[in-house]
Amino acid sequence: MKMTKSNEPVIDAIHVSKLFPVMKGIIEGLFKRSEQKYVHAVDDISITIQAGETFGLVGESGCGKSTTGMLLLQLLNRTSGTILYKGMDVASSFTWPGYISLILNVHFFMPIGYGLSYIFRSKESRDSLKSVINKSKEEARIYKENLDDKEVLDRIKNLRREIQIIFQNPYDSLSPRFNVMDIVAEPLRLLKVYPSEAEVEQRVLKELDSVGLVPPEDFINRFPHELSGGQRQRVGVARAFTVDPEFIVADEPVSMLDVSVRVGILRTMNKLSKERGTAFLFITHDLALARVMCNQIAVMYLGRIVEQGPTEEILHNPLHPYTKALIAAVPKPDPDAHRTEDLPIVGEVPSGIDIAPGCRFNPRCIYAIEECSQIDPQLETVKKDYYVACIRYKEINKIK
Amino acid sequence: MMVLLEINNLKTYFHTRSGSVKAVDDVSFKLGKGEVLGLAGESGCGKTTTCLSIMRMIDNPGEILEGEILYENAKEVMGSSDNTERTNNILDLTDAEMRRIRGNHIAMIFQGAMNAMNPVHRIGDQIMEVLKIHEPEVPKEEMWQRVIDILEVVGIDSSRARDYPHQLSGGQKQRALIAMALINNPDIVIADEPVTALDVIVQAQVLKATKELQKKFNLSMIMITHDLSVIAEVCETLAIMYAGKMVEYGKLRTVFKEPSHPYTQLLIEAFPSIVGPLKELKDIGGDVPDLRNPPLGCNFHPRCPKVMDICRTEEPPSFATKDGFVACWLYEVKKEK
Repeated sequence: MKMTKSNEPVIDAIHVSKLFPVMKGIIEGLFKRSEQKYVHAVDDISITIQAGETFGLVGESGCGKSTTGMLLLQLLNRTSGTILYKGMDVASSFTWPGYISLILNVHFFMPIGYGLSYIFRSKESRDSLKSVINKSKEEARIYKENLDDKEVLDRIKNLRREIQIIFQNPYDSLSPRFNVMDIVAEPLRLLKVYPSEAEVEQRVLKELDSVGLVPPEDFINRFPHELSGGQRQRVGVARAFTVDPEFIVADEPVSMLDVSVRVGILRTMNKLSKERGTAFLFITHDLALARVMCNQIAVMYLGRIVEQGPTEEILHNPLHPYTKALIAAVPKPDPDAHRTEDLPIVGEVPSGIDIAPGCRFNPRCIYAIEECSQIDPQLETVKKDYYVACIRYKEINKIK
Repeated sequence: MMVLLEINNLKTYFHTRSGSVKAVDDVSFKLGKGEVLGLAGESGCGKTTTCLSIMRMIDNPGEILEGEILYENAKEVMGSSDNTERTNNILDLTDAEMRRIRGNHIAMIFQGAMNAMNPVHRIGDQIMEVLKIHEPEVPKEEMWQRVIDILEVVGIDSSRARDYPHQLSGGQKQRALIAMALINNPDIVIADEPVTALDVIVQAQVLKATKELQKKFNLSMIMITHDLSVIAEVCETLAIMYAGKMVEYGKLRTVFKEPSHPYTQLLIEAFPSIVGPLKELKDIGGDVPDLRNPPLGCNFHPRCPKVMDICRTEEPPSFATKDGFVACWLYEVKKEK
């Protein structure tokens, strides 16, 4: 990839997938021979976010938007694909507990399973188990190498400072035993950003002030239960911004809050990200909020991005059938906008385990034709920065 | 329109060690036959407590201190002896009489479809339980038939009646709860945040089903929600609550298009929409007051942009508007001039 340093994206995810294996019970695992199934939480998605940009990820629950956030944060290891952070590949996180559990698995649990397979299984399945064990041993070796490599660890530790998250639920994401000072100072102290405690405190005060908790001196000694929901989320925002991150994932940051305080929080986040040039991934199920926050949005359905482009264009003139249904379903705060016609969608969201062949939206799509159950549509460029994954989008929308 | 339910000066307080929380403070409104009333407000403003008071489901440390809840058909559940001297006030009914009201005359759809059902009973049996309690004389086969019928009415296939709650999707669970509320043909259905936990597409489907059922059975409904856009879809009348008081009441269009109370105006402005021009959203500064010792005068005055001297000292009474009322001093001044 050839790019000048200045317009290099902060986050560049290329064909990233995350599959979660479906667990089988012990009995089923011993007696039934069935193929390992996977939940396709995130399936081959690509996202690019520039500094200072707010990118919105919208979709219904279970569509994989939060998993995407976790992958970009390196809180989950991806199954395949590349995630470049400022042009640098950050593979995954390596920790000692992670290594120990891996070693336990390879040298203890897997041999037990192998031993049992002499009793219950055929020779072929035993051989396949053997190859899995060998593969895992190789993985453990690479893991150990990375773990010993100080450079890799430093990079990851640095990454933890540069990538931050704002959680959905401000009632659960703040420790009830920490006061506001300790909550906001914790990342600074852990990452040893400032050498002296006085500087840490100064920074916390400045940060509280900038998220609108004024005067900050009144708040530092309070505990979370002494704050209202809106104030708590402001503390959460301050905690994320306090280490000068380059990239923040905000996972439904205002869905637990009342309407009257939502706007204030959103505006604070917007202001801070503009001022400091932070790249933002805004995850939400609420299209109206995405409209307020983001210039660019991507609509997800069952682990895939189905449409991506400028927010206003998508909201006014959606091209993908799923986006059309999603927008039609949003209730409008206007008594004159009464909806009469049926929603342009059938059925309910299917499970992410057995995904329909072809386009994964085709069983619910009112425009589906024969080809839709055969061809898996890829994102096509409609115009600059506008993509849609539907083989019939031109026909449906009468585009030449 | 025949008035079915009339609530006058209802006060429900919760007594805590650090003082009484005035959860519902002097609330009055009427509900007509076939009317859908939306009850909106922020969390903690007393919407749910108002409705639990109507169902008389306020438990210790809560107490309904004052007021009357007049229900048109309350006499039907009373014993035949002394009907003449008694009023229609639900609050005067005995517990046994009240049990006949609940579920039979006034039904409630509870918040959180995901957790409102018993996970170890089949949904058909759970719905049938309502019938068993209110009409024990009906034979079992007929009851089951009615369960099947009502499930089809709300849009669940009858083959699902023997499923357990975890086998249903969120939208289906919500529909099953609606079926449970409707099976005894109640006069009034109170729906507490019926679609809050659902995804937008499912939400739209459930709202549509609710609207159709309401028309079909000519139900009176009270719809509690914090989401004004949901109210705009289904309701005819709209009541806005703030900190235990009802601050504005009127026809949906009037309240939405020409809101009188400053709180209503700000609330509507704070609401993002995906239609229309992208407007600059405003937030209401400050926080909801502590209801143990609410501010003197109008509850909203510390956050109100149009605050006047009188607001700080005296509580505003209800002033009539075009088709409802508003509790704000601004509208008295206008009348004098």
